[in-house]
Order: sequence, then C-alpha cells, then structure tokens
Amino acid sequence: METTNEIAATCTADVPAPRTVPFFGLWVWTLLGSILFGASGHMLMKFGVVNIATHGGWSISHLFSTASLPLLAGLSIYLLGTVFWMLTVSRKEISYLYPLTSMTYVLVAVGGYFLFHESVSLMHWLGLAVIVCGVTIMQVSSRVD
Amino acid sequence: VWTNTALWISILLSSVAQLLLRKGLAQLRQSNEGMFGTSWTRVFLSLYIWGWGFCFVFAMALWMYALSAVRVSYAVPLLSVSYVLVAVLSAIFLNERVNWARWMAIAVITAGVVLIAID
Repeated sequence: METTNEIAATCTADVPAPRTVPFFGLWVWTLLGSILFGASGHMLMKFGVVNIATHGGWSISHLFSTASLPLLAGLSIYLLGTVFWMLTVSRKEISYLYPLTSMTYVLVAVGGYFLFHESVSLMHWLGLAVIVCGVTIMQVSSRVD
Repeated sequence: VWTNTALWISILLSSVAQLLLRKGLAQLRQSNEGMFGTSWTRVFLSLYIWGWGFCFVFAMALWMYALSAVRVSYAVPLLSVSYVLVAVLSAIFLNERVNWARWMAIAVITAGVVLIAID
C-alpha cells in the first residue's frame, strides 16, 4: 500500500518514496500526445502527398527519394500517435476517451488554417466551438456522481 | 446501396475495434502494474488486440471504398455516430457507467462534427 503522506515517507528510510504524478494523471498526457501526434501526422501526410505530386509524381523510384520523406515522417508520427492512444486506452474508459479524439478536427482545422492557408468557414469554426464545449462537458461528466 | 452498406459496416467495425482495444488492454493491465501495465510482447499476443487490428484495417478499407462513391460531406457526419455506438456498446459489454453528463457531452460533440461536415 503506497502512502501519499510525504512525512511518513521521509521518516522511514526503507519505505520507497511515493510515486508522485505531476499535474493530472499520466493518461492526460498520453491522451494529449495521441491527439497532437495524430493531428500533426495528418498534416505531415497532407504535405507529403502534395510534395510527391509536385516532385515528379508517384512511382517506385520516387518512393525511395527525398521527396517521399515528409510522407514517411507523417506516417511515423501518426503511428506514434496510435501508440500513445493505446497507452491512454489502457488507463481510462473508452466511452469517455473516444469522443475526445474529435479534438483532432479542431487541431487539424487550426493547423490547416495557419500552415496550409486553407480557408475555414464560419460554420466550420462554429462546429469546432461546439466540439470544444462537448469536450468540456465530458470533463464535468467524470466529476458528477 | 452497396456503398451505403459499406459505410455503415465501416462505422460499426471502427466502433467495435475501439471496444476490443479497451477490453484487451484493460485485461492485460489487470494482471500487471507499471507504466503500461504490461509488456509489448503480451500486447502483441492478445487476441483482442489482433481483433482490434483486423477490425481497424477492414473498417479503413471499407471507408475508402465508400468514400470513392459518396460525397465526403455525406460520409463524415455519419462518422460521429461511432461516438454514440461506442458509448452504447461499452455500457452493454464493458459495464462502463455512462452518466447523463457523458451522454450530453457525446450529443454535443456529435452535433459539432455534423456542423463541420454539413458546411
């Protein structure tokens, strides 16, 4: 049984120091990681396929050239996001976590707006705001009952 | 008709995939403690994780097949149905307690995704 009482831990030398969780739980950070890596993976893949199309198009020889590096990087980062997702799912209920992945839409829209200069309509911003509201309600849901 | 069927099966499969992932990882975590709760070897040996992989890949393939035939603005709002599906199925099969606030959050997030997609 681990004690969170720090005084008790410092008084007895052979008792291991309690595992301190910095700020929120670990799953919060892995969740943020999975959303962040997922969104940036998507954007790198977008950049990657455009990059290949402008550098001679799709062919086997191009697959091993530097033109396909952004796409490969995008896929790797997306995979990293999946690993973080697995780490998160192992620690928290899926009915809580899964809707939170909609934050990816928000990040991709913001990224597309600033990085690729894609136009984001008023309706789109409104939808993103509604998603953020829903995610906030989700945070409240784990505190009620 | 076939593309619509593919679309709905894809949504169902991606929901089931998330449930299998949760079931598998929660089960592995129960028997162990630590950073991940288990080793990667045991993750790869878990049948639930393999189920997740197959469902995920199959759902992706069906999704791409369907996308080639229907408009994106029609397909993407249907994707948010999976949030509701995951909640319902996890309450039934994983005994997750989904309280009223969580149902409300899922409804609001679904509405947000629909707003983006009908744009």
